[in-house]
Amino acid sequence: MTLDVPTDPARPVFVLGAERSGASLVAELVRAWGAAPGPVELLVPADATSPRGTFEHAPLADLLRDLAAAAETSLWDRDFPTRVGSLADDPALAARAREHARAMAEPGEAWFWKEPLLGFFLPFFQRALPVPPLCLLVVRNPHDAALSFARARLPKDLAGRLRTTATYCLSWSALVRAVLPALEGDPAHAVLVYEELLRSPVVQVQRLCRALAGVSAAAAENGAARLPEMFEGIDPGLWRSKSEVSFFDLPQVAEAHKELLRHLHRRAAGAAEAYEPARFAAAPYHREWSENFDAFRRHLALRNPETGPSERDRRRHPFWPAPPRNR
Amino acid sequence: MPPARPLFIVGVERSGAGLIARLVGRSLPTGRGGDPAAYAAFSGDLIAARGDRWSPGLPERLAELAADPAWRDRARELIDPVASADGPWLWPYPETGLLLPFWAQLVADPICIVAGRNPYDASRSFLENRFPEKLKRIIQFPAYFSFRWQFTTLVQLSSCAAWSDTLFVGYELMMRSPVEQVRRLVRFLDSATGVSHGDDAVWTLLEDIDPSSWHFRDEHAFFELGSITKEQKQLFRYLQRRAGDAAEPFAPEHFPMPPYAWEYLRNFDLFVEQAVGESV
Repeated sequence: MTLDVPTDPARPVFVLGAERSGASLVAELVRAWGAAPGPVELLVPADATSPRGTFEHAPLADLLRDLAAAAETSLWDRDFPTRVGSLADDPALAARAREHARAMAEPGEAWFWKEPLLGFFLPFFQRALPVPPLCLLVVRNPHDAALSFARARLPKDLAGRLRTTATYCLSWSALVRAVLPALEGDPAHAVLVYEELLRSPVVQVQRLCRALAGVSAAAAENGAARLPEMFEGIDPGLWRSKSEVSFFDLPQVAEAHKELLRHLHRRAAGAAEAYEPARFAAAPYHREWSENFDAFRRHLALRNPETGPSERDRRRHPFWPAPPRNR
Repeated sequence: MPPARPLFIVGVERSGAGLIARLVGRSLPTGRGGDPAAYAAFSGDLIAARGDRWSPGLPERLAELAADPAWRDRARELIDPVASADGPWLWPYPETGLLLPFWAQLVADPICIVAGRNPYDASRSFLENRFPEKLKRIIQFPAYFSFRWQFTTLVQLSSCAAWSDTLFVGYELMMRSPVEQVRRLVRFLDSATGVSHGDDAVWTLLEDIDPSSWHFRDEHAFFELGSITKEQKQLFRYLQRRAGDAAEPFAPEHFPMPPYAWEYLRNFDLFVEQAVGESV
């Protein structure tokens, strides 16, 4: 019996980036390029905060929740990526990941996942999937993303009172610290800067296409023809939350985070610059703060018992079952 | 006749400042505290006027308020009845610590006792005794309290560390070696106030010290906690050296608050207020 296995297996595309970082825009471009986002009925619907949709896949969110529970530690534990990576040795979890992957598209057809916390789980999927993912890391000015996050995710009655820049920087940098080591040694990845996508769409979309050429030869050939459709997907009018002060001039931002953003910008501009974890170590208070902020968000969502967390929120962090306490 | 000297006792919550205030109150013959209700009302108004409690500009803002004639007049109404005593007078409100930059502008030649305790142990005591029960199970505390401790300590020391008569008292030393520490306290008060106390005073004050009341004794944990910054550990070691009578000037630039501390402090307090309707 001959198995009908494609000779050119497509690498899955992972669109990585913190919430409100522009990852949804890149996901839309990847879809326009020709990668499948999965059945539309399984995607989280568009809403006022993401009017063109987020391309977030509900079964994937459920899998990530279950992986987090199996890791038995907080997402903000600096060992979380390592622990979740070891779960690839669990036959049931690995099989479930492969089953989800198979359901995304026909054999050989390009497909992608986009999910804000996916980067923390990269070590798991790199081992569990038959073909390792091609990663696109989307980066945005964290202060602007924090402002957007506050508007989109936090109650309006707290607007102006609750500050989010530092909180966002801590979680954003944790995601980047989880992703960059996993990309070392894999040249087929790209760092994309949200602001550059909107300022120089032609150059950046062409760059994206060159990165996506690593998905498979067939997909790359088809994708090149989709450039016009991809350009049409970029609407600079969607670039809201633009602060007038440069992130690098904000006194309330830690120097390590400014340097991390500079590092990512250099890589996005083509610099072959290795990631040095010691330069960007987590702040000692990061885990307590991030876990408390998650508790805060859960409390805010439960303030009104009639509404509680939205259906979207219910399957997503921080509404997953609480991890063991950080002692 | 020179004006009577005020004696401030400051310290972060649960650091032993209350114990020191009791000891000193028993040893000073005259001039205590004034009207607690009036002080509380004034402090409340001052706190509202200063804006954000957690802000790097707090000391400067308080100094500005102290230069305002309206605030000075109100403050003098509180101080003058006490300051007219024939000797040093005790300002026994430990929460004065964060307001010290205000009061320091209004009094001459103050005396200060700084109470210090391992911040981790103080945080556990605060959590147990002062934190809303509803939140204890869901909120973590060490890093938040350490920021609070660090900032309060920096504000206090920026005012009093260079005063000619400032004594640092370590809570742990007081509990372990009460005789030695009470003698030290009495010697300091004798020198600063010009009032001589005999050995009888030492034994009288010792009656107020009960080492069995020393709960939360995990002194090493603070230096091992992953959530504590290097600068916070160094600041506590500085306090320990001063409590051991090291003559070491205070250099705040050695203990900077990280830029993110303000947001965490403010957000944490906001969360508590949202969750239980009160502040801590």
